[in-house]
Amino acid sequence: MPTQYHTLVFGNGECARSLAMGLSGRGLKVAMAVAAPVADKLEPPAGHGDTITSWAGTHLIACQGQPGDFQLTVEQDGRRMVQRAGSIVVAEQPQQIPNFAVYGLSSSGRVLSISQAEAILLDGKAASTSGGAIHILFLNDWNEHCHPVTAARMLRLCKTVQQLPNRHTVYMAGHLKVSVEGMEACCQAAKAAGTMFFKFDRQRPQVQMLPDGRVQASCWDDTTRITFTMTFDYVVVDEKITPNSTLDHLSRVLRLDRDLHGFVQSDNVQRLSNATNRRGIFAAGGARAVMSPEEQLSDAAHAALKVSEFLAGLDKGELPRVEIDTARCARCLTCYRLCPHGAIEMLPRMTVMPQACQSCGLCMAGCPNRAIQVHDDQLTSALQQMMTEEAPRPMNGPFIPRLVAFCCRRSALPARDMAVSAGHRLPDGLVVVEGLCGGRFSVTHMLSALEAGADGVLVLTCHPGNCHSECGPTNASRRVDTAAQALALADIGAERLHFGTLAANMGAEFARTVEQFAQRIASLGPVMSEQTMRRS
Amino acid sequence: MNLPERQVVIVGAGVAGLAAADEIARWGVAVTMLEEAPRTGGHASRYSCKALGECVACGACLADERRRRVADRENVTILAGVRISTIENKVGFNIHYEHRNSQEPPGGLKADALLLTTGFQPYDPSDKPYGYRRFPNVLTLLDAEDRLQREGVLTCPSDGRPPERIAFIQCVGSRDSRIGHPWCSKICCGAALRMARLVQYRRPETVVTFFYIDVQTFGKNFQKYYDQTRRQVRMVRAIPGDIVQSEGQRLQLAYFDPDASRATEEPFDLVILSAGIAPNTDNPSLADMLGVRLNAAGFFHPHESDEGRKRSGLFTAGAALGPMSIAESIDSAGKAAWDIMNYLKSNGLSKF
Repeated sequence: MPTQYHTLVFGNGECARSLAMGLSGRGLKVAMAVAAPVADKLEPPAGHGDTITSWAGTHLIACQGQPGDFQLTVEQDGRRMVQRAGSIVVAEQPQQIPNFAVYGLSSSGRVLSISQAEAILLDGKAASTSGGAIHILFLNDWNEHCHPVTAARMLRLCKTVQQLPNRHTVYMAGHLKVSVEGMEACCQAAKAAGTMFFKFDRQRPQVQMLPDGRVQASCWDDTTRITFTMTFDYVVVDEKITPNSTLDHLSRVLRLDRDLHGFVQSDNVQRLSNATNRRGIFAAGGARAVMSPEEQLSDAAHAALKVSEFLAGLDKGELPRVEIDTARCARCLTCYRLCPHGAIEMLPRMTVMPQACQSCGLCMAGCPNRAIQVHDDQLTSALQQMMTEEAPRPMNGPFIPRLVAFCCRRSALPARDMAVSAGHRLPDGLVVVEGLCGGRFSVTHMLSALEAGADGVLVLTCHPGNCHSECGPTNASRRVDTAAQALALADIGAERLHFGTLAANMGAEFARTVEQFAQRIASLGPVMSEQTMRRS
Repeated sequence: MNLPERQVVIVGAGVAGLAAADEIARWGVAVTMLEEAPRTGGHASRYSCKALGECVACGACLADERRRRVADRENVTILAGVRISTIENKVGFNIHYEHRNSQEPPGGLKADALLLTTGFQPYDPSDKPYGYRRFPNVLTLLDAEDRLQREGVLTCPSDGRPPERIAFIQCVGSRDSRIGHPWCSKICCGAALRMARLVQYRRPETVVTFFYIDVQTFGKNFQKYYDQTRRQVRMVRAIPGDIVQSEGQRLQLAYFDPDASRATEEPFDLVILSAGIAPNTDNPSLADMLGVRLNAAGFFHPHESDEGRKRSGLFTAGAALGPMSIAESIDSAGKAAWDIMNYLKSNGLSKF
């Protein structure tokens, strides 16, 4: 059955629509799905009726298949259907939660969130309790940090309101977040128009709602060193921008990593800009981070480019094949659990989905039955070569330890290259064995390096939180621990193993790590001393 | 004169230019990059990894990765150490350039689309009363990054020893109307605090004081990172008045202490100035050649803000538009790459 849609976009906001239109402009068939029930029939964006289909009130039940041909079971009006899509984009709009409680207030006709205030304060209906000037207090970025995108809305509204006749505004903030373009100028303009700004570090103002609905603020001013009390007709509080509530469910069904706030993309720079942990599934706009409306539209363009690249097969180079030996496989599901890319399915045999697999090898290194093979010749041949080669051990000269450094190809390996090109001298007996991810090196690899004649083994990966496979460094460090325990039991010494983390641009640190380790091993001497060798 | 035909020319091989080249070249489009400096990477590649055992999402590795990727692409030509002499903006662009430090003859290129990723110019704080260029131990943040990258550790230029007490001064040449820079440079709070934390991580006894006006948000994990930072770095909300150098290269820093409400002085071994992000000094002449206007600060306008320019094949990305982090520059380049590919397609110049 052919794929029905090139792309399925979750969301119906500006970002999702702009993304869908961009893809449709390239002649791709796009479906837009909105999880929330919508009263009216959802119209595709004007002029795109031929290539964009919209479904309202859809509920995603399951997602099977693989990148290029996902099969999505969707429920709509109580009916289940299977839709096929080559790629998926999660672009649900974020939600705004008013921070009333953060300032000890509750919502009322006079205590407004920034969204409410934008609608009320500009239409001329705002009223003073005394009949005179209207006093408005803005509370921003204390008790809880406020995102600059929201702070920009607060500052813009404050300036605009202050410039209206008969309005007096006071802006109380922990920090003035002015990193959005034009905001420093906006503050200056508000100040010039008469807004009073107060900032607080340790002693924060006391705000309380009065019986007549007004709000009183008592503050200690750091600069003037006096306490003063002011009463306001309106209070405007900031909002927290949170992920769309449908992302809980969507990310579970699509098996997507999320950041600590719940946005669909782990807080890992390797996922930037629009990638998720799964190939062919992307995140865009307010579904992946807090963004201004302009940034969301710009992100829609970038995401459209990434989707196009994927559909054209330009996103993935040649990668080694990963295979599960079904005869050995005990179906313990370890690989399913370990795979960060959602690339292993039970069909009903454990199967690596070739389009989804990123060949990181985490499954191989973790398989308790050694049923998984990564057809990565470099690693095996490097180890074999070591076994056959004579150790560079001069008979009467000083001991030159043979070191094997298992290096992640994306971090430690470029760091090595950088060290070499910067003129650092690396130890003579160093053999570098590369793998696509540090988490791909198994306990067996480490022990067989020692068996092949190495005096010390290093495993060097990227820093936790920076891994293309998310948990490469954590898994690698755990395997080094296990191998070290085995060495300790065999009386070879756990200190012959070392685990370290490096970024690709840490050439000097690579050289230092390797040199220190070489010195340590040199002082330990060979694994087998000449006497033991002679005896055996 | 017959010029070699190139589909896309990118002016500036910093992180934004490299990221855009990487995206565009993927589609088989020939790209030529013109870079004034002898090597690619721009300011972004001067930043070191700031991981504290764990990644802190500074983005330095991303810039480096873009540089490596572009170096591997056969359809990207990099001309480094060149300066643009003229651009004729007709149907497409005729670009003439000369080599800065060699006797090679000037060259020319024809482009269907032109992308400006000219980045920024760090503000020169010599006029500020902080002794920059007079006292060896007063550095800008980028100077400090250069030292860190070269030596692997941050030391005092005067004697090569690690500093016991470091002061960071924020907003030097930012949020400053008096010098005509009334904008926040956006990236300095994150860059300086990450540097402060790295120095302390490697040498925990280092005492760090951070002078600031307001701390700007950086990263998804800001609240957690900032809460930890406040426990380790002394945060002082003040802009120091001046610095004098006492005996033994010690720097005496005068400021108004907000806690004690009085003026005070304190000695430091090393002072790091967060010099603001100013527009590239070449912007006016480039804008003039291309017939476009700059914004009040001197940065370029986004290309879609003027439909006429979009049709003409001129695009802009990265810090040429205003202060941007490494990750934001890559985002911005991605958007420009999408717009360029659509432009080439709609003019029948490329399959997309």
